[in-house]
Amino acid sequence: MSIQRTVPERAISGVEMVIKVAVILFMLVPAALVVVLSFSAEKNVAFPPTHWGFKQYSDLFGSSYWMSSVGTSFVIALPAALVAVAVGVPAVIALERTRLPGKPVLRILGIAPLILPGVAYAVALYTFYVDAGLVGTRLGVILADSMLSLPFVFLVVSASLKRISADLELVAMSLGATRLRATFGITLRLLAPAIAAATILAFVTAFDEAVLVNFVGGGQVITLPKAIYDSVRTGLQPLITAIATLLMLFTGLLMFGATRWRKGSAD
Amino acid sequence: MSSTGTTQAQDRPQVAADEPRVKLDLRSVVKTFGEVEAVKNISLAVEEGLFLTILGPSGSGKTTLLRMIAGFMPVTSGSIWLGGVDISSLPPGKREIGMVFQNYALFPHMTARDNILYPLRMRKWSKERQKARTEEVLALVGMEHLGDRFPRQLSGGQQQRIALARSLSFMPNLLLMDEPLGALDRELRVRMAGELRRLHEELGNTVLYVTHDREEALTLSDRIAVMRDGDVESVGRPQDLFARPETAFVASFFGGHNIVPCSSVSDVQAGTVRVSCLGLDLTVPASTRLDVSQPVSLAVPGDALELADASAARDCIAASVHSAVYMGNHIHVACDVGIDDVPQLRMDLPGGRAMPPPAGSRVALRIDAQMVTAVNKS
Repeated sequence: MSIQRTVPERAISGVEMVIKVAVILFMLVPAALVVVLSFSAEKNVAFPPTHWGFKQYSDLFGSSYWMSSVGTSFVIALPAALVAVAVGVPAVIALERTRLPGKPVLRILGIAPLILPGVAYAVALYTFYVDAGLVGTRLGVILADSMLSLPFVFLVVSASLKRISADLELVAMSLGATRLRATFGITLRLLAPAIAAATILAFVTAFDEAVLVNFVGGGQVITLPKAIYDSVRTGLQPLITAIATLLMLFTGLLMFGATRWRKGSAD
Repeated sequence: MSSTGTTQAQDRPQVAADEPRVKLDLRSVVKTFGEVEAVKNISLAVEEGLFLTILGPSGSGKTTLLRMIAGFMPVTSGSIWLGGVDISSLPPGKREIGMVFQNYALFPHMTARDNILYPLRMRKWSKERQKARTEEVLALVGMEHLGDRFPRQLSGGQQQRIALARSLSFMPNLLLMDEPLGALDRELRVRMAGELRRLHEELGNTVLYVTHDREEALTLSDRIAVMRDGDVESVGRPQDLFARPETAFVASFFGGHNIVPCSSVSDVQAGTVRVSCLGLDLTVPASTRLDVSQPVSLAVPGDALELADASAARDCIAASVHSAVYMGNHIHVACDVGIDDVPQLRMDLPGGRAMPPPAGSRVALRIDAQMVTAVNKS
């Protein structure tokens, strides 16, 4: 480019660059530090470590407490994701493809859990759960987490459905398909990549959830984030760094898969 | 049913040639959305093997009518008969109607061939019959070499051919087309229109075609139904609608004629009236629906006007040229006549080597009274 920049312009772009780099460092350095620390062989969290090794990882995999919390997280997050998809996908189709009254309100309700402050939602849910006898049950946590995951299903699936012409279903019906067959064979078939991506997002959301479980779990349902939260309260165990590293790797891979699937649905 | 398209015509019950069979029969069809009457009591019969175009501006109810025939929305009242059967309450898939959409509506996750196979699979045809018929319709639209492509790998025109092949593959009783050429560029549109006409003549099927483009309607149709505000204003052969429009709307929207108000009407004879118009007294043919108690206008086609010698002012209209555009085989001229309530007159002069008259020049126009039609103003 041959456009000459003035001195203040160059100064501004220099400052802009510094801010960008600072923001990126601020976000990445703690994460990188945790990964580095997870390979320390120290008994306490100290930087820089003097001994290196896989001590934290062997401690983690050797602890039945931590392993059972991982198991609980899967047992909670998987059904929660499936419930969110089972509720979200039909809701999106109803919103986009029918003459439903009050659509704008329903659309906002669909993404409300995203906007609502988590603690406020947790308190409200807790009082309701006390009456329903759901406090401290896995079912209670699953339902709470599925509501929290619903907005992701909502957003991902409706964005994809908007790109699928409603005429496709009509043409399938005129070609001899029943309404059910046209919906499943055409619309849902074309939505499949988006639904897969939404399931992953919902799963990750439920898997990482640490606020609701503190309220509605009633101390009996110990998911991985809950276990981490509890352990940090009693002092920082170095084993946490190994959990954090694995968690980052796991969710990172899942999110990568989700974006790939969503790209596939764009065609 | 036979598996070949060309024998389709022979499959139809034989009827006497002088007694055309009605294929599609709309009986007092009404569609209302809340307070709005989108389709007002339409009755229309389409004879077997005819290509009928529903022509109307946007919002005239033509697409609503088409969607009711296809079965995508229920009729509010009235009934739709196809081949002597009341199909009003049948689901779309049981109506045996092929439909082509403006945006092609090909299934993006299937190849062209699989798109064409879809209706045959739904009908559980035998594998051999499915394959034979698919290759046959692919050849019919000249796409046999592109059957394995996905829709996104095909051009707009190619996609439309596949959509057409798909809607013909199961040998429907009726083919509906909703502005199928609307998304194509002009040159391709003209070529595809020619091909649609050739296909129709080859297959002899009954076609209902919806468009707002009068050129498409002119080139394709055996019959044209002009729609306006949810009603069919006029039905007829393109030639009749063009030469003897029944209403001012048909004359201007379909024919592109000038609509010139008349100041007095008298001497109504069989088929003709005497009118005062543009400062002239003319005896002109009248629309069969003319009501002389209502305001009367003349529908003047662009080629009913010609330039006269400036000296021959008698029986001529004095005008000044507003603009003149050379179009090759004709010259399109717009003239101001300087009479209140009379719009600019648009006329087509022979082109070729002729020079367009300069803008602002004074001219005398001669009108061919036999080519104009007296119609009601609205």
